[in-house]
Amino acid sequence: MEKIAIYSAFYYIEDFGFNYMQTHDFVRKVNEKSGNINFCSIEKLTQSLGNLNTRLVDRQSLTLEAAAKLAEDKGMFDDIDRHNLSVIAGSYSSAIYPSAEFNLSIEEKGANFVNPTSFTNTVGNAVVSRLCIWNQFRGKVYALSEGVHSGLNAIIDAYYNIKYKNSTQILACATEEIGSSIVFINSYEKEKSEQQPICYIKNCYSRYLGHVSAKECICSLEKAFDADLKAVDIYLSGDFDIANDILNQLEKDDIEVQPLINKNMFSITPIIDLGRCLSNYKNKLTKDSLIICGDAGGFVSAIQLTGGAN
Amino acid sequence: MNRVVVTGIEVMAPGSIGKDAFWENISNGKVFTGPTSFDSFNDLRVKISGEIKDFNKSHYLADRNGIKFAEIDRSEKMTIKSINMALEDSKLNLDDISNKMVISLGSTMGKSSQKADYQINYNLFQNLLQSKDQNLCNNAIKNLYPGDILSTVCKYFNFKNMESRLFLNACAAGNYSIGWGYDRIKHGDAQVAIVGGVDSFSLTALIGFNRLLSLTSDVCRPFDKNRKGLVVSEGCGILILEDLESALRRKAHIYGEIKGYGLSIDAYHITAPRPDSSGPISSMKEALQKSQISPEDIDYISAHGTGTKLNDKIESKAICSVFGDKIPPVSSIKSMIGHSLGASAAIEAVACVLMIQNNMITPTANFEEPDEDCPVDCVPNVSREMKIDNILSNSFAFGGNNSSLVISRYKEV
Repeated sequence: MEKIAIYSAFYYIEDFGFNYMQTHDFVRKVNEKSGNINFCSIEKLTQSLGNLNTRLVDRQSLTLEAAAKLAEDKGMFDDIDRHNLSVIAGSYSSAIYPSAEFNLSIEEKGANFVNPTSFTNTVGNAVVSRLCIWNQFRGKVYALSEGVHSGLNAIIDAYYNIKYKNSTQILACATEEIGSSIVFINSYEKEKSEQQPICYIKNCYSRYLGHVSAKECICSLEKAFDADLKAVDIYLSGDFDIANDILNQLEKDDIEVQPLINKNMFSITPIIDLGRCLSNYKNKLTKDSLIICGDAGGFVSAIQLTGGAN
Repeated sequence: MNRVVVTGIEVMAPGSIGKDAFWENISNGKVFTGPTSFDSFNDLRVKISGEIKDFNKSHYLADRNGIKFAEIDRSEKMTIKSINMALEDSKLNLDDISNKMVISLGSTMGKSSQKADYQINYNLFQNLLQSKDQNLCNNAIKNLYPGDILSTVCKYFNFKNMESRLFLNACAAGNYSIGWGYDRIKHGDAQVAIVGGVDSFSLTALIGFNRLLSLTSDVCRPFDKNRKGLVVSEGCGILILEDLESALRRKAHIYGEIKGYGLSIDAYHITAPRPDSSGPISSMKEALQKSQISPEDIDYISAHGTGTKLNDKIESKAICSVFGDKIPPVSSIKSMIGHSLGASAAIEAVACVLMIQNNMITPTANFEEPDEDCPVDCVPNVSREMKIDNILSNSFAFGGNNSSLVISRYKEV
């Protein structure tokens, strides 16, 4: 039977590239650090990307390419049909900063003298398009921007696109100014697949809940996943208020939860959580995991992962 | 698999607020682009645009669920107004289906400023970029990020428990939105999908396309030998997609059926199409194959037809490759309403269902001289009456995203 499986995850955050096995260390350092994660340095990125023409290209395009390069160096693209590889990228901030830079440039240089490349950076799909140009990925490709849960929604859409047979191999990405992440999601059939996945996506949830109470939100998740929340590992991220409300309610209900809140990693935060899960599954975890992300706009997304692959 | 039909449509476009005015205008080949209304940037090379000039307080909706309509962003106003009209058109009872509804929108520029001055407030941006305090930065962008459109729409209509998506796939975003909603219904994960696209007039886009030398200095002339470029405009197109069984059960008016769609990416250049036109060929072939329709069965092609030298040439080449010597009529409504960016694909989908309803193809306006690089029948200047059963609607985008959608007359099997 076909399953929807996760094979790996790579990150480039704050000038540092790493894979899912290092996410626990990353989170430890983040929690020890006072203040927030910094934006990636464009200078360092352009140096690390070697021969690519990166002149005036926006930071998110560069960080996503840096994460992809890390994946390529680890051989992740070796057995992949690039012509059919799909890419879905979620971002909270999307092209807000490039738009700001473009508008400042208009003020400084005049509307007839701004650089057209700066304009290309203001379009929401520029980041995924550049990834495809640089790596010749030619499957189904699109960009989402909905809130801090956008990275998780890229994973959810990957799940549905494989389920609907629109694609078989997908890179689900999250991109922000502080960095980018790439998650490899493929359809898996035991008889046909040579490579063993790390875990499977069991179910997904993505809803606008508005300003419901944390209790209602948790009920809705329990119902959607038909799961006893005390029996799964829960990872929680999101905008400060909504995520803290959910956290307090879960703790009140004696449900153990691992929060990662308010470090301004936006849509990448739930993908860091996913990396922590992948690392645990690689280390023989067998329990199901639930990754939850709440956005202040009233949106909540979640995915349920299950092990058994190792 | 469920069949997916269209049971509600609405549109806002230059010259039209509402589908009846829209049809009246485009079926008569009326052009609604011209000199821009803003009085800054007087030295811009091109100051031609398409604006919905008559969208004013008389069209505003009542405040609802804490949202003050007059105070929200122009893109949000246009989206909420269009969704409201489309839901009325569909005669859906939301209480019956609220747990089985999804919503998706497409956009290029996302939110705009309230005055359509800059796309996003410049002063706020300046503070944001110059601030060393990232907490301040991130709080500042809270109300600017593109996804906030969805949040405002969901809050206004109280769309609780609905799944939602915002596609930022530039000028093809509307078709990505339609495809997403179509898939959800087809596979039984939703009963109704509100889909479409929106972009309010963007100075960022006007200045950017100016610098890319993509704008015409007079009118948009798709497929014409002397075409000079596109006209930046604004608009919103909304379609209510519904599971056929549900539509039949409640005796809804069925405008047409979404049969399938195809997506591809050029992976070639951030602004220029791939010269071999393999991207559009792939999206058109996939849409036909998924719809189980042969090229001979397509009666009309709603072209992306921006009026730029390269787009029309590559699109024509792709059409010739897919359709061989039996190319159906091809036209572009962008000649009349300009290029409304992320709204264009959805507005064109609305135009397509109206063409099926009215048995009439809308023309390519402003056409004067044929171009050997565009060997298509572009229905020059005057509408054409004919029975239309199947339409292929193309929308291509900045960054090389290509999308094609098949819309058909609804027929009982």
